[in-house]
Amino acid sequence: MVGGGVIRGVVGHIRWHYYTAAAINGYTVTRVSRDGRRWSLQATVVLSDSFKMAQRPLVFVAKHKRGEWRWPIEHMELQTIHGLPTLTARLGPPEG
Amino acid sequence: MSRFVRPVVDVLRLANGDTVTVRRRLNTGEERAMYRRMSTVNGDGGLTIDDLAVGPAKVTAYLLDWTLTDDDGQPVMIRDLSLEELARVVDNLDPDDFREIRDAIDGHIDRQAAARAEEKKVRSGETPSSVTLPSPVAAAGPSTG
Repeated sequence: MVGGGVIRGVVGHIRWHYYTAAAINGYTVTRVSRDGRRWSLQATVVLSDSFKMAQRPLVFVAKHKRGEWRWPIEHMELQTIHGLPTLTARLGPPEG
Repeated sequence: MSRFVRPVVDVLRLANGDTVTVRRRLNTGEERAMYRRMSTVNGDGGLTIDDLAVGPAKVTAYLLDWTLTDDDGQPVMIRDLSLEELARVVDNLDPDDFREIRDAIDGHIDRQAAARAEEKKVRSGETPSSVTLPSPVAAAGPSTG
């Protein structure tokens, strides 16, 4: 169960089924709607596979002490911000 | 049908009811990495298959998850481990249990190869394709100049 309105972390992944489409080093997930069904993601991408990033469905996975949180990616854009490849995404409700 | 490998999984059942979840097929990069892990470089720089490395290389290439537990009944988690971490966990298996998993994966590989061969046969029967394209001259027909 995902708690607060803003979650910041370091290690995350973008997954396409069992593949890692991108590795994330530094992310912020923000709850957008009060019911927890809409979230946003801003993350720094350190490694990515453009073929896998073009596939669907993609899921953002953030590891935590007791497991992981997973959000489906509904829409995303990859751009360079302050010289860093930055992923901005709209997320659906957390899975599991 | 796409020429790219889709990330489809299959679940294989072991003798005591445990299951292993495996990749249905490897993509080119995964296959190359598997062959590299089962090879050693010989004196002239070529590659030689190391018989002892074949089983572990195949198992770690295909294995994604399993239901195996430790002595306390706790699941031994392998999902999302790196290849190196997975290889270390697999090396802790009882040799007989490793062989059972390896044999299950070998059988899976054989079945998938047979299915692929059948699929190719059916596809080539439906849409015969020419190995070479006709030259522009041939395609345009004889020239009367």
